Amino acid sequence: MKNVSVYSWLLFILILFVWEMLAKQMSELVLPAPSVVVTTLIDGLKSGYYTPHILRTSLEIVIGLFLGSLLGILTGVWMGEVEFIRKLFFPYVIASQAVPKLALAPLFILWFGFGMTSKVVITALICFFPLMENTVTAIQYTDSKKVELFRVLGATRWQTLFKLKIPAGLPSIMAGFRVAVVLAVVGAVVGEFIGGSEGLGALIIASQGMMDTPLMFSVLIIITILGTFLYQIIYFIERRLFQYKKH
Amino acid sequence: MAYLSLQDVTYSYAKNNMIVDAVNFDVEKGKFHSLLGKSGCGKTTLLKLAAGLFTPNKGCILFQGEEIKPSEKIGFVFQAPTLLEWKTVVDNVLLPVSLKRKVTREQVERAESLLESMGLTHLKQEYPTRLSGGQQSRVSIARALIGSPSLLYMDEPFSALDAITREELQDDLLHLCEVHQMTVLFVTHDISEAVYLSDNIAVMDKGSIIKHFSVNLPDRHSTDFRYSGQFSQLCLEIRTAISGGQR
Repeated sequence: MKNVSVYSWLLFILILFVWEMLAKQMSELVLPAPSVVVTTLIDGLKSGYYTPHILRTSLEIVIGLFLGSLLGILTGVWMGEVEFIRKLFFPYVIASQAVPKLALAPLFILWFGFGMTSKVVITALICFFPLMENTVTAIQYTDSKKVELFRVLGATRWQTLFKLKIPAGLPSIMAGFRVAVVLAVVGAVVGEFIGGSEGLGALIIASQGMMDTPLMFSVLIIITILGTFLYQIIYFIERRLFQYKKH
Repeated sequence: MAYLSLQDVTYSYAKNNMIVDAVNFDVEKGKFHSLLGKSGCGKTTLLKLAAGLFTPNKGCILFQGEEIKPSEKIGFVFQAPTLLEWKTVVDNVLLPVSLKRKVTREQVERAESLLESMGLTHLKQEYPTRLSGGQQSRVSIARALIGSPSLLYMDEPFSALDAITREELQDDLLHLCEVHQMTVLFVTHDISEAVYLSDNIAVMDKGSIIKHFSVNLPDRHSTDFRYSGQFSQLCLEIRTAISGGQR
């Protein structure tokens, strides 16, 4: 199995090669060659053209992710712990799941303007659900034997929540967080598509207007790298957090 | 006055489905008592009632003359080890203490000496997932003993272990009971285990105690005793009682 990563790299090189060959047959407007895209990317990075856009999108992702996750976890714990609240909210949660959150983006632009607020709200909303759902399930279905153990030990409700239910549910909560990170990138970029002059999403729309396909591709690469980078951070945190799982 | 006294204890989940039916049972201080019976005879429910985990529909449970409630005087060992997998072995042992107050140096030392008496010193900083079944059971017993309980409840703690490990743990348990002068209420479906460990055996069937046995045999608690004629004779008598007089 050691060779798998080697093959993986070889596959990457093959894809680049096929792409380059294909691009040579077509107009740069339809499919720019990887060599052209990379040149555009490096030039843009050197001149600092992308910097404000990267910062803007990153900021939206981080703030949206933070707010959405925090609210998601808090609501999830509340709903998981208090049966009344769970039963009260659940029909609405299910209904709101059916709403395509990204389709609400134009509405948020209307409500919160073209600035950063609307994008943060969209990002937060889209991050909220996976965390809330995973947290509710984790808290609600804590191993009943462990709950019984805490009862024998005379633990209070708060102790059972903070010393048992939340730590026991952490792997599931983190799995929700991993989904949220990927969605956060989508949320911020789509928000920028619809309104705004700064950010990587806005840059894609601008490149479309200017018919600058190499620029569009280079922005796509930046978004991919940004998403992967965030995902890796979560992966790293999980590895640190769940050392006890390693055999 | 009995050390622990169950008076007319009745418990049912639903009407017409008596799990425990008007049980009267006294536990003497310093003795090892077993509740023995087939699966589904209500022995685990009776144990949990006796430990104050369930509230009886009728009757009462008095510990030293007062209604039973979770306290440090009581230790409980579950059927499964029920260890918190995100805590190290020594932290698992210290869990009952850490729920009450800040853990002191002396308590850590006590936990370590308990682990030492069970031959687990080298594993104290490991996580439970890296331990074998027998080692996990030992940790759960150490956890039940950390508060120096005078009354220990055990719910088939060795049922999932292989025969040899089980015998080792039985001997360890008897040794610990002697050292700590503990009273034990032990649930099992294994006749020879009950005979080997107990001073008194209560045989249960359909929610009631149908017969009591005292084990008054010389030279107990040695490996030879397990294979002696008297031991087998007593096992046979109990076996006959369980099957209602039919062999």
